[in-house]
Amino acid sequence: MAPNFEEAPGSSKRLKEEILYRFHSKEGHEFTMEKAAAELSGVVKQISQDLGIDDDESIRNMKPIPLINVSSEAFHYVVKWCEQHKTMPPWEQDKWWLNERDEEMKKWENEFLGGLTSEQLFDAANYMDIKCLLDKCAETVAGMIKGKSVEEIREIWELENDFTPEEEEAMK
Amino acid sequence: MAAASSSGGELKLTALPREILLQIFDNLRPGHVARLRLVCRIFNDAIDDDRYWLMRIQRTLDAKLPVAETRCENFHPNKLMDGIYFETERWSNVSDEDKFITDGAISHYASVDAVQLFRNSSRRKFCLSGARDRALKLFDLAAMRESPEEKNAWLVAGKEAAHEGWIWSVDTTNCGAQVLSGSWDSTISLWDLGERAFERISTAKHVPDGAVTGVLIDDNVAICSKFHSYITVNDLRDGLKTIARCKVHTGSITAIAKKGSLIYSYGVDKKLKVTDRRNLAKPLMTLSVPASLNMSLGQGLAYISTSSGFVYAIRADDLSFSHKFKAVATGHPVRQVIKTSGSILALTQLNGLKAFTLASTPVEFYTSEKFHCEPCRFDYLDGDVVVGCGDGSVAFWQCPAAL
Repeated sequence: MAPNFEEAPGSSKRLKEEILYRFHSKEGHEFTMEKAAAELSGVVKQISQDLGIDDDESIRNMKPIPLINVSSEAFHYVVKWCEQHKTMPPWEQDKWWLNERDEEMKKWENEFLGGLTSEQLFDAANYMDIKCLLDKCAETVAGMIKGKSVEEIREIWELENDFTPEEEEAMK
Repeated sequence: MAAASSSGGELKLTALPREILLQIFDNLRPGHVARLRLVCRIFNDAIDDDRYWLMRIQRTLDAKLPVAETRCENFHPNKLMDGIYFETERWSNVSDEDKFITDGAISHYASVDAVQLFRNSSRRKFCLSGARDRALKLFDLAAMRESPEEKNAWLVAGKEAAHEGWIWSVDTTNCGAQVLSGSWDSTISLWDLGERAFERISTAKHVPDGAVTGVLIDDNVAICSKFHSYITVNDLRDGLKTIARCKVHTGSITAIAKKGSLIYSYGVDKKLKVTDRRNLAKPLMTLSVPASLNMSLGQGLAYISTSSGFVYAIRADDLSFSHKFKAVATGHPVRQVIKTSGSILALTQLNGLKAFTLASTPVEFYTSEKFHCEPCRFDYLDGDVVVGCGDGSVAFWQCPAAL
C-alpha cells in the first residue's frame, strides 16, 4: 500500500517550536525533518555546511534542499527512521559493530525493516549517507542470505549463473 | 515497498554499489562469503579481491597486521579472515563440556613436557605425549567425547620405559604412522605406531651432545637440538644415522623450529640463529634476544616467549624486530606461544592460556582460568588444545562441537 505522504511523520504539519529542515524528493514532494533527525544524514550536514547554514534561524529560513535521487516512497521511510534515531548517541562509523542499541530500539528496527529492504531504501541511505540505516539494511539483507546455498540465493534474488561450466569448475 | 522476507522482492542485489554489497557480506561468516563467489560474476568480482579481505581484517582487528605476516608468500587474506573468525568463535564458546583431563592409570606419573596433536590418515585426531616418567602415550580425542566416563578408552597405546631418561620432545610424521622421541638419556628413538602399540624401529645415541632438547621430523630426516649446543640431522630411513652435526650455539639449545630447509634455534646463549639443514656449519643469521623460555615460528614471524611476561615477534626473513606485547603481568613467565590460523595462543605459567589477536599490537581476547596444576607444554590443532601438566596429567580442551 502506498504511504499517505500528507500524514507521514515528515509532512509539514509540525509543531512550531521545532527546528525543521525542508527537503524536496525526486517527485517534488516536500518533506521536513527535525534538526537532530536530519543531521543523521552526512549529506545534509555537508550541504548545510556548504551553504553556511549554521544556526537555527538559518535552518528556519532555508529553501527546501532538493534530493533528486531520493523517491518520495524512500523518503517516507528515511524520515521515519531518522526521527526514531535522532536521540541515539553518535554512530561509530568505522566501528559499526560497537554501536549498542537497546532492546526496544532493536525491536523497532526489526519491525521497521521486516519486509522492506529495497534497493530504494538502500540507495536513499547510501545517497543521504545515513550510516545507521545503511548498516541496518545491510544486516537485514545479510540475515536473508545467511545459511543459504549458492543455488538458493540465485533463486531468491533471481540471479543468473553467468559463468561458463569451465569457469565454475575452476572456481570450486 | 513490498515484503521481502522470503523472496528477494524488489531488491536487486547485483544493482547495488559494490561497497554496499560488500557491507552486506561483512555480516556473514567469511567462509560463507567465499562460497558466494559462485553466485554470479558480480559477486565473484567483489569477493575475489584481496582488498576486501584486507579491509575486513583491519576492521575486525581494529589495527593493522604485522608487515611480516602480509609479506609472507602464502598469505591469503580471505583464508586469514576465515581463521580470525574461527578463533574468535572458538574462544568465545569455551565450555566445561569440552574439557577432558586424564587421571589414574592413563596419566603419566611425572611432568608431561612433550605433547603433540595430529590427525591420522582417516582424519581422526590423536595426541602423543612424552613425559619425565619416560613413557610415551597415545590418546584418542574422539574417544573422550564418545565415552567421557570410561577414561581407559581414551588411551590407545602406551610405552613404558620408552627411554632411560626424561622424554623432552616428540614429533610425528604426517599422519602419525611414525613417532620420533628425544630424551635426556641422549638418545632419539623412532617408533612405528602400529595397532595399539609403539614398536621401536631404531634408536640413536648421542652421548657427547648430552640430552636431546628438541626433535623435529622434516621429510626423511630428524632434526635434533642438544643440551651441549649441537644440532644434528639424522636419517629416518637409515637407522637414524647422523648425516650432519654442528655446534650452533654456545649453550644448551632450548627450542628449534623449521621453515623449509631453514632451522631456527634458540639457546641459553640468548641467541636466535638460523641455519640451513644442508649446511649447519654456517649460520645464516644471528640475533641477540632477551633471556627466553621458548621460541616458535608462525606466518613470517618467530615468537619468543620470556619469563618477564613479554612475547617478542621477530621477522623470520631477516630477524629484524617486528613487535612485542605483554602477554601477562610483568614477571610472570610465558611458557610457550603458538600462532594459529587466526590468533596467537600463549601458555602462561600461572595465569592459564590466553588468546591474542594477530594485530601488530595484539589484544587479549580470551583468558582461561588457572590450570589445576602447573602447565608445561601445549599444542593446538584446528580448535583443539592439549596441555601437558606438571602432575603427569594431560588436559584436553576440545573444539566446541558446534563449530
